[in-house]
Amino acid sequence: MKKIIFRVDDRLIHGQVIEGWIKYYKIHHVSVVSDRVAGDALQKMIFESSLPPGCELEIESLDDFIDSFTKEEHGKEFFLVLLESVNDLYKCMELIDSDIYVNIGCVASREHKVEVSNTVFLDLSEIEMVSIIRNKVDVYIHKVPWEPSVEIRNFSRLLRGGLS
Amino acid sequence: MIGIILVTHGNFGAELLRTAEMIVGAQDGVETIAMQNGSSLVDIADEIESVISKYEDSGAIVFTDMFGGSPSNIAMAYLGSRNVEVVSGINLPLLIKAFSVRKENKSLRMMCSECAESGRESIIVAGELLKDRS
Repeated sequence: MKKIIFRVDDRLIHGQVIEGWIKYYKIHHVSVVSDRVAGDALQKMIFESSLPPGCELEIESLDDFIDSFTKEEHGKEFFLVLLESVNDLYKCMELIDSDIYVNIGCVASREHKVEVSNTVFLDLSEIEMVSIIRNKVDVYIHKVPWEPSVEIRNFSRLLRGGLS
Repeated sequence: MIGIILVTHGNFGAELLRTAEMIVGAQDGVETIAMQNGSSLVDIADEIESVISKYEDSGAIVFTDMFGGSPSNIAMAYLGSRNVEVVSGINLPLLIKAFSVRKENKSLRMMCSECAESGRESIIVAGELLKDRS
């Protein structure tokens, strides 16, 4: 596994992230990237208290994250970055290179969304954004580490056929 | 009566309630909310919101299965408002305790700490029990 993981998960920190990613890869550094959470003291407190001991959590706005990511050293340890939406991932495009494992974990079902997996539902514009990111790196649907990841291949077909 | 709301991953809450009722009989003022794969956080929050408002006067305890999981994260957002307390790590003895304690007219906080205590005490490694006796 690559040491830097970018994950789209609209729940940010939850059971699958804690029991799955953080414990499985013994991750000590987690960044929650969300303008919403960064501005909400109660949400920050909840997330901070829910991580296992020894796991460092940074909660920052998207702009702050983009700004600091390139300046920081990302060395030997696993580093998990949690983003709330495909849109936010797309805005991080400049940061993404082949050293980063990009996965989409949970994006809840809403109206006019296409079921990509049982936890991932995307609309047309999100599928287009993922398709563009895919020109740079592979993007996987990956709920928990011990389940197989699925590389997103059928997107072009979805786009061609429209989403009706 | 203080409302009891079970917010859990999957149907755990509904099944737990059914099982508890098998032991202590049918209960009023209990709600279950299930978080399934693909559930939207907003929908769950709306559900919790509407259930909590039913118990605005009496108060309510939201029991969740796992601290840090989405059900617990969402429920905790209602802390500090509207007479609500959240207890995570629900198990069968804990729930049964909650049903009996809420008849005693205690404060919400007191009731929660008694339930939590009973939940913790109910976890026993049988082998250790034997070791202590020999």
